[in-house]
Amino acid sequence: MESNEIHAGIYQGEPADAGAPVRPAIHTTRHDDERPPQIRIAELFERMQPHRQILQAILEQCDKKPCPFAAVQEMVEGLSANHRSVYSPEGFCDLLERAGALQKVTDKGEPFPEEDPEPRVVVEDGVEYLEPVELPELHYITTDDAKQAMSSTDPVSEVEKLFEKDAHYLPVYKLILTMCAEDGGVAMPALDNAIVNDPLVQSPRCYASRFVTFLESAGAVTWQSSWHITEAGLEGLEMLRDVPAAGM
Amino acid sequence: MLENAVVGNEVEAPSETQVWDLVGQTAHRRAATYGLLSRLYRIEVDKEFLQELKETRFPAKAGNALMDEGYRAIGKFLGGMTAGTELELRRDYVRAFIGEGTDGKSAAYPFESVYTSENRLRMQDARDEVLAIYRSEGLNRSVDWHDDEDHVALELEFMQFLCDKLANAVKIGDFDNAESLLATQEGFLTEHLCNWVPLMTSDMRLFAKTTFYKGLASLTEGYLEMEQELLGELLGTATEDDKQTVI
Repeated sequence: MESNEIHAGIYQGEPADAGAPVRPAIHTTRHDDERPPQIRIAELFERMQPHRQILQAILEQCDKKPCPFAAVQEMVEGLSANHRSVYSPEGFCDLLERAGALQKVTDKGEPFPEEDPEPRVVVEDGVEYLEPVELPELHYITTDDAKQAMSSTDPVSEVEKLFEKDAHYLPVYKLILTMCAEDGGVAMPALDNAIVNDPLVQSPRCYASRFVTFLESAGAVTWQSSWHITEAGLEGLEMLRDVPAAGM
Repeated sequence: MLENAVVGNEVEAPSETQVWDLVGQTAHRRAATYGLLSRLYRIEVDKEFLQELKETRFPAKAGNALMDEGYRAIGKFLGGMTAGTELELRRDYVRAFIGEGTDGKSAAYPFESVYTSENRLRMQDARDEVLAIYRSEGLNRSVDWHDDEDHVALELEFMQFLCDKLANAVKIGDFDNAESLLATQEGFLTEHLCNWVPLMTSDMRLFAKTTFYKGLASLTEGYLEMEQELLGELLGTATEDDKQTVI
């Protein structure tokens, strides 16, 4: 047999000849979304509402000067301690970078190399070897577009929008926010017990989880082993000061 | 008896002892390369192994263009490592070797039977043949191995095993056994690696996205080419065109 002859059943030749599909080249570079960063950033925050707190925290941490990824990772893992998510710290940073909200830089703020570096050639005992090169430590910095988007976003406005949209249930929201403001927060069963007999939630039948989900998406409450009110939630509660709470 | 070995840059008639010494020395290096390749195909690269690879020096001039291309691609990929590299490689391993869907044409399936059976099925004649060969050398599947015996990782590991056995035979002066092992290696290489691995590596270049696994494809193909040349020369089965190996 010739040394290069391939005896492989029906697969003589290129895989395409044997029926293996030739996959189209998928263009997945970071620049395939040509829309302005402001639109991409707004869309990201809209679609990632449950993770808005983490996204904002990353942008705040990387705002003033280049922040090493290790620090971002530690911060995100701390915030995610009570949240199981498919998104890793790298994943969040990647999403923000694609939206134009974060930029990869070196510790000096210079653009981070886009291409993998060529290995260096070292000679030992007259023999040449390839040695992988160490990249500079990865840092992130918040872009000007993100800063502009953040400054024009009022976290309380999301809560306000929720109250406008769901105005019928304001007394229920007030009760839930009041309970979440207590020391130690509150668990869902306690919230359910508090509203179960209220006339507002009988028809259509609603449970506490519905309201908590909307409040969380608006940034008014957060889960830290129990439900706690946020700064935005406190301002929302203040907006409802003249509204009688459910159950009263 | 070995014939017409090429030593250094000149054709000369080495003594039998010199040739066997070189065979023994190269057997260790060959075992290490087979071991590396086997590991890279067996499972995904984990954090610890990735760090080991990062600290490894690869030959800049291995004597084969495909091997040089493969080492360079892998070295370049490792230089660009970030915190997300391990996850990226795990995903690419699945993409390259497991794929998605059930059409049987969505990955570079690392089983000889898939590439040598009529309907791209696993567990065909090839698997039975290699299992018989392993057993003839006193080997059997490990209890920790849950896949087919004609997986490329096992076939490469078998070559590693034979290299270690060869090195030992040379060390104790059992040259008859050493020659028999070389013949076994050449037979296995020709009939159970070079007959299908180049097709698998071609598929790897289609399905893998990272330069790491694309580089592995080149490295594997190039190494098997070099092995064929080397074994052909040592056993005197090489044609005149093949006699270029420098030990």
